[in-house]
Amino acid sequence: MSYRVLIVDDSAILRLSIKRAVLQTGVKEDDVFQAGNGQEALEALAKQSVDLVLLDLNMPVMNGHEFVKACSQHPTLKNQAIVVVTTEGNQKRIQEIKALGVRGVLRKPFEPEDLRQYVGDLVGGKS
Amino acid sequence: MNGIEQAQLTDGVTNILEKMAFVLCEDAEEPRWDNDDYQEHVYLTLQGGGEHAAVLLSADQPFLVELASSILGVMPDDLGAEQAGMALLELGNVVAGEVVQILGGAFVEYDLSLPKAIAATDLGSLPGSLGAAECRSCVESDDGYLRVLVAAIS
Repeated sequence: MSYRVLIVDDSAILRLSIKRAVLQTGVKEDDVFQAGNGQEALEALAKQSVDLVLLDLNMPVMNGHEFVKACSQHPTLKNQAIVVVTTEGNQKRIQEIKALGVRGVLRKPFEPEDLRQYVGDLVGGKS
Repeated sequence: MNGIEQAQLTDGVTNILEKMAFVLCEDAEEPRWDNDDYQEHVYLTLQGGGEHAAVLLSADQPFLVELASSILGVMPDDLGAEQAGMALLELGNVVAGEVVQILGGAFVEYDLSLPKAIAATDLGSLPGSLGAAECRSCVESDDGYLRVLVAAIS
């Protein structure tokens, strides 16, 4: 069984790069969705539930922080699994990101193995 | 500026290219250091831990095409006019993040500028002693070359 992933990043190039890594974990192409900012992500989630959101933080219109907050206040999205994808490597800043309530932080660039580990933990090891 | 060696920079760049773009590169056997060898340039600055430094990525056209077409999963002939440049901007952001980590960014907070495309004619006016870079790396892929310079900004 595949799982559904929403990739949220304002860079179309990076969304594609992340998508390739996601596909390498065994996710079917039809189960990968994309959004260019937090607002688009909320609109996508209103139409289609996903198992995991891979989220950039610095985006126009609605950034990652605002998106996480919006999810936490939403009746059906408050338990949405979100993993932030970032170039940030500073331990203190990573802890601040985690304090937003996200499930984890992946540093760019990440390997499919890094993502597979998260997915296994977050979606109960669907196979 | 202390704390970054060529081998670290080269390893970081080749690792990023493989993971992010599925482009395999290695340390260039005959490195190209002249600005004239490259057609596209991306510039960033980083500041933190008492350091202020510049990172310049320079790519030749064949490398750019290989990078962008690999990330996008399209044939080179199907690349849009701006896509290769955008790919280098994104690569610059990730490479600069790696430079920060090499400098100790896990424990010292650094701020990175946004990546900026730079015309070849403006290279000479950039802050940072890029002509005498503190650390430099040149990698080659199947098709082209990428040069990365890291220099202190006084």
